[in-house]
Amino acid sequence: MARMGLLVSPELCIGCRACQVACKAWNQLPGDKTTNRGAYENPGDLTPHLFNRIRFVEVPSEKDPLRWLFVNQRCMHCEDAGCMKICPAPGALYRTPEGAVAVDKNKCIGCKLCLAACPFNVPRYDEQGKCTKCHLCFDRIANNLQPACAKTCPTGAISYGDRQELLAKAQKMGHQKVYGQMDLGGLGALYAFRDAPKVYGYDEKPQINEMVVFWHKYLKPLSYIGIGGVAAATLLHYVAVGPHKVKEDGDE
Amino acid sequence: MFVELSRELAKEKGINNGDKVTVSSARGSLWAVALVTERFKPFSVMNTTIHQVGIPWHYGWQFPKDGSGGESANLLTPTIGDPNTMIPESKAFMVNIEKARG
Repeated sequence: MARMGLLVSPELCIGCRACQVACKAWNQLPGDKTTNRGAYENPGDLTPHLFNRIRFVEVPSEKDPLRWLFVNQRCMHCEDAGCMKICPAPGALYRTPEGAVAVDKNKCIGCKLCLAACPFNVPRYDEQGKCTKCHLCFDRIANNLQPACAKTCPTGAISYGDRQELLAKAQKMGHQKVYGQMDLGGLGALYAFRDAPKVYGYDEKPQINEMVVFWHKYLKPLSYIGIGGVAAATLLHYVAVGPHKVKEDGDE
Repeated sequence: MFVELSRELAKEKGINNGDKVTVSSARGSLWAVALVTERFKPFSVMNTTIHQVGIPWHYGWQFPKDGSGGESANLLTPTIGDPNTMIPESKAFMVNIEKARG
């Protein structure tokens, strides 16, 4: 199956936050009690019950002193996903046939390693200590429906479709470079930025934490050597020395 | 309740984004969270600097039940109207804004 994805165009977004509401409605997520911290964005960050949100970013400049950007923050569904790489529970974080990174709460062991491994600070842990995050509405897209956020978006700022077609669409809209086209093996959520990603609050070159790569590539294989070594040494000891015998005339 | 104000006015009054402030008019006063933004700019009218602040007509003590939403803008509005159109003139009026004490 072709890899599916989302195309997010912040310049088209009007900041209505219907995507947040639609996501909560479809995924049956409860509301979060929040306080006003002096911003229109609410809640202030992704929570265990909020899989996507709109960030309101004021970027005044000489040319446009009133520039106000509305950027959708969500799981990017990376091809080279740090969370999937580090996750020690088989099948807890898995890739759906459509290319989404989804969570199986029943298999999640709550180790929180994915928090450190995510380059976009997306996974959250709920009250049961299980990982939660955007799963691209895998239950909807498997049945040929759009994700709830894309379905509800009134301006087409979030559009869903075949990833290659979305890239072509972005190019037709005049975006020579699309954020996420090549980053981390290609992101599932493509961002059509008009300026440097930094203006929108994204890293120029998103990278998985080096410690995570180091852990996964070098330390983890080392542990197998350790386990294997212990087993081999035990076997060797058994063959060479034999089982331990208690002396009958011993003091104890 | 929140009140939007310009960076210039915020600097003048020593208000930071997210601070609790008191907005008062001739009729009443309320507390609000300051939202310092670029979208408000001071006007220069006849060589006098005039600041504008913005308040939504929302909130009140009824919901949420614990009153955390804050007070209603109706506490500030004047009770005057346009006799020709019979429309209350409660959208623009003079207020003072200062950092909430305590």
